[in-house]
This record gives sequence, C-alpha cells and structure tokens, in this order.
Amino acid sequence: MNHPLILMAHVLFGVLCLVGSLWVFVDTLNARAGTVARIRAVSVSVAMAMWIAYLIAGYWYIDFYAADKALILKGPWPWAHDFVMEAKEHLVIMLLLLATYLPIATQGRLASSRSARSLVLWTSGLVFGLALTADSFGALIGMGVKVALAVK
Amino acid sequence: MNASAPLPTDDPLPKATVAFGISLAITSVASALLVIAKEKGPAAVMAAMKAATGHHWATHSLSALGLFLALGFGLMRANGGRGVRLSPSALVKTLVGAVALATGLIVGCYLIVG
Repeated sequence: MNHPLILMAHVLFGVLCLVGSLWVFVDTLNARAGTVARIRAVSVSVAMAMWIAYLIAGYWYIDFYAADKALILKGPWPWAHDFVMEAKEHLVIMLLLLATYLPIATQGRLASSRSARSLVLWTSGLVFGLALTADSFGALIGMGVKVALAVK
Repeated sequence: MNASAPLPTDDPLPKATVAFGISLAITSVASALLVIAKEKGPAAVMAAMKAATGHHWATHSLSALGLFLALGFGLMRANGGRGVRLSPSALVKTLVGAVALATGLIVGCYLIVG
C-alpha cells in the first residue's frame, strides 16, 4: 500500500473517532428515550473508527516509521520524535481502551439516570481530549519530517 | 417520567459497565508504569518486549488489551456472578483519576525525565 495513503487513512479514521466522541458527548447531554439507541450506535462507531485507525497506525509505525524517525532525529526538531512520537504511541493505547469502553459505558439508563449520563459524558470527553491530543501530535510529527527535509 | 423532575443520581450501573470501567482504570495506570519500566528500567525489559512479538509497542498494546479484557471479565464474575460493586460517582472518579495519572506518568516520563 502507498505510504501517504496509509497515513491519510489513519488520520481519516482518527478524525472520525474524534467527531464521533463529540457527537456522543453532545447527544448524551440531552439524552431521551428516543435518542439512546442513536447514542449507543455512534459510540460503537467511535470504537470501530479507533480500532481501524489504531491498526493502520500500527502497520505504518512498525513497517515505515524508521525512515521518518531517522530524518526527524537529524533535523532541527528531534523532540518531534523524542517526546511527541514517544508520548503519542503510548497515550493512544489508553485512547484505544477508552474508545473500546465507550459502547460499554452507554449501556446504563441514559434517559433516566444522571449517573449513567455522567459516566458517558466523562468517557466521551476523555476520548475527545486524547484523540485531539493524538491528532495534534501527529501534525507535529509530520512537521518534524518536513522541517528536516527543508534543511537537508 | 415527569420531564421537570430531577434525575436520580445513584442509579446502579450494569455490571459490565462497572467491571470494565475499573479494568480500564487499572490497565491505564499499569500501561503507564510499563512505559516507565521499559524506558527507564533495566534494558532486559525492553529486550524481552521486543523479543515477544518483534516490536515493543506491539507487545505493549497486546499486554494492555489482554489485561483490560481479563480484568473486565474477571470483575464481572466477582460476587458470585453479580459483578464488582462500585457507586457510579466513585467509578467516574476512579476512571478520570486513573486516566489523568496515566497521562501524567507517560508525559512526565518523556518530558521531564527525558
């Protein structure tokens, strides 16, 4: 598979996870009996998007990242690997588990229980925050490669 | 339900929700501690993780996923199959606290310790 296409697919599914978690958060704020099925369906979509993004990322990271890593470390932004990539690759393990847990968290009585809503709000909020962090970190890693190529 | 009536706050959650929530909290912190162990601990830890699957990150991911599933299903079977008990507010505090702690450990490991 083409290298840029792998990265684009990774970003696409990561953004779907991000947007889906925001949907779940907002929908849960006003959960009613008629919207619970939709909240649960979107939460499953969030988990699926995250799993696809994660598997694509794992394939790319293990098979292709070594060349980019070498470039970044020789360039002006070595921290784009030393801190950003290293932190990202481990934070996303927690993000994967949170996204996997989101459909389980939505199994409570969302239409009638404040505590069930609170759990989903916190879980979807954490997914959103970590996904946004991962997305931002990905952009910094990409910039780390670009600035390294620019000074080459 | 009357639309203007306040929603109950202590409604019990399904046993899978509680069990996997606690499992997620424990696994998040365990995963962060594994980051510190492999990056700052003896080189044998990193070497063993690389040897297990060919890449330390793949081993780390599979370990975290395995622990999450094992703990989740195990906690669901606690109390004679009724699942582990935890109030919803305590579950939220445990989950959020664990994710915050794990995030701090991972970021601190690479940012502060270097």
